[in-house]
Amino acid sequence: MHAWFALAAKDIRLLLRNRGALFFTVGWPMLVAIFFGLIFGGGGGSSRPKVALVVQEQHAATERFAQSVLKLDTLEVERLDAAKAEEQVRQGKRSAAIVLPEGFGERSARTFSGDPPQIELWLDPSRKAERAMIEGMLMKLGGEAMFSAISDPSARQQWLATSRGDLDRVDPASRQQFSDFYDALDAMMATPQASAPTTQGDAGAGAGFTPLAVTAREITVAKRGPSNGFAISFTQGMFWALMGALMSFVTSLVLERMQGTWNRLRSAPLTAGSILLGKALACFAVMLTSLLLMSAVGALVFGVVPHSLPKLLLAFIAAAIAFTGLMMLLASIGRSVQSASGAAWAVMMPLAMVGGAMIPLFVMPPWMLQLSNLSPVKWAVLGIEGAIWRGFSFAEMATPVAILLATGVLCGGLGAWRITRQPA
Amino acid sequence: MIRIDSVRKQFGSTVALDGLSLDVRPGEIFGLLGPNGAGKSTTMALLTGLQTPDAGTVSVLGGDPRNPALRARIGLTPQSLALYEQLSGRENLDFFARMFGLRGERLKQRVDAALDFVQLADRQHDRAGGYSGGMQRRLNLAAAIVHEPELILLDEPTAGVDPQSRNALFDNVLALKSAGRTIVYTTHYMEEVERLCDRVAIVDRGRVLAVDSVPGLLRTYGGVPVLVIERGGRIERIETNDPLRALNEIAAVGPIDTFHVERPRLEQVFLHLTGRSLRD
Repeated sequence: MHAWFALAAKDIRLLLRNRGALFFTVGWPMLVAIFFGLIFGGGGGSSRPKVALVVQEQHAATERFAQSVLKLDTLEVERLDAAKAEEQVRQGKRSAAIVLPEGFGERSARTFSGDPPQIELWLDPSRKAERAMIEGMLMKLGGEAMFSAISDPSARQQWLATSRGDLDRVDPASRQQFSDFYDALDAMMATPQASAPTTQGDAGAGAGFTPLAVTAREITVAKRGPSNGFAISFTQGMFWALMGALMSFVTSLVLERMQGTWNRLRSAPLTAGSILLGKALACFAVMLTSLLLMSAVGALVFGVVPHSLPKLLLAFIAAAIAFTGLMMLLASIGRSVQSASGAAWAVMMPLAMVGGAMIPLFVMPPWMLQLSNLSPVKWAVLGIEGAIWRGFSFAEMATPVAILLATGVLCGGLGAWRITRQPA
Repeated sequence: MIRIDSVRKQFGSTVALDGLSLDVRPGEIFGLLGPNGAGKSTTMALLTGLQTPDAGTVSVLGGDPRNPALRARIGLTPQSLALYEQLSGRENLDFFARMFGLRGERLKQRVDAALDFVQLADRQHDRAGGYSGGMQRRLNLAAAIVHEPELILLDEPTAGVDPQSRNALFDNVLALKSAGRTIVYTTHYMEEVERLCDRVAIVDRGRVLAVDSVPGLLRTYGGVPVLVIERGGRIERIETNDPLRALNEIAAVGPIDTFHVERPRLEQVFLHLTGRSLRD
């Protein structure tokens, strides 16, 4: 076990010191992803969740709240009608729709009587993180709206008039207390030092009081599409990351045999299988790291947020195993660096062309899609896309993952068998 | 220490070893001398378990060299520079030592000792690719001895190095012998064999043509010394087993201008046994 890790650490160190190989393993795939992402219409899109805003009434308070939602810099909000918003959420083009229904404005004016203003959130049930984030933002806006209402003198007078008019709707036991509270609030807010919000003021909000009530309506996404052009180009870039690592390790394995270090390692108390396993471990680790790095950059900078992280990790592991196996097989073909890299390009390019690494799978004609089934590149692309934007279930992930694992084991086994049979 | 008995090894239609037999004794430097393609490197590959004989037996340190545990007691310096040029000298040794199971403090001690032994301690952190040819050869040797093997196989260890580095390598080899190591040394440089080897086997076409000490080979295959004299502008060459007596007899007849004795050299033995035809 120690020898495997020492072998892998040596190969990773060699790769890190080979600037050319490192560039083609990490830098080049990133450039490909960014360049083609821009061409595909990524267009510098932001990583902010895209949200629709539906306003279902004409009311000043509602409009004020709608404007504050539109100004949120943490969301990319577009005002749409209800039908359009629902359609876009269903198609996965928008993460959610914020709906300000009839009665929102009216309820906003009655903070301490009746129900709080209602907001509907339409979104896919799987979008739990987005739901929590949007709800938090809406609550913050609700609190700010209430403070705004009582800190502006004319708005406050209007708000107090409405509230005092509603006293008969309040529980008789609390009616006098609310009346005293409104008087005290009016007097307090009239003094200059009360004109700015304070943290203490926020913290002093009554227990159980809520400025808004958010209810969710589940809209299951019927068919997901890529969120932006980068979702396509980053998947293709990930293929180039796998390819870069594959070529680096094909070359390194052939060089190892040509330069005599292979024989020196074989003369050590190690089996040939152990040496190749160490090499495979390094190749796998480099591939996985490159994929994770690309995924992180894609998510943080270009808004390529995966549908499911565990599924993405599963796809990455399966793809890295498949390409490590291919590396082993291709390294066994050539007896020189030139012949091995020539063979590797000759094999991998057609597989990439029909496998969706150059032409996206979803634009392929049916005959080409059929042909692509023969390419492990297709299954790697499909698995990664499945986890990023196709919304695959684990059952749907099983096919690409199983094919990739089988490819890795078969190609790796055959390659290792061929290498160990070659004369010293 | 090593016993090779009637080993045959064939690659396709090429017969690399054709009934080769050898015995190497503990603590000696045993030379394998032969032209290109004689079977020296194949013999080395058999001794490290990298190849399996088609026929015959190979016993190293009392066992089969294909046994990984036994290989931990063998050190190999391959003919090519089997080093990672992007790693420093120290990193190379550290890596190869780990492959032989060294860990912790012992690993550090052995790497330090190997670097000192080949006088590379001051350049240990430089990348091996930046070393001179001689330094790379010395590092190549250090990688073979870093795990303190009992048996060291040196396959043409001085190929392409300057006289200073060659001398340093000779000193290293003799120091290893003094430390009780057994060394098998392949080369086609006669002076290396003459200077270093206790016994030498001359091999060609996969067979051992002769095995003995250098003086023994010279006695058996070198022919007689030649007394070369010059007198009256003429040079005469006289083959004799007793050059001094022959010189006295000639001097008694008349004056001699100059004279010298040409003693048999290993190269004559080598060419006598292997022939003068060119090899690939």
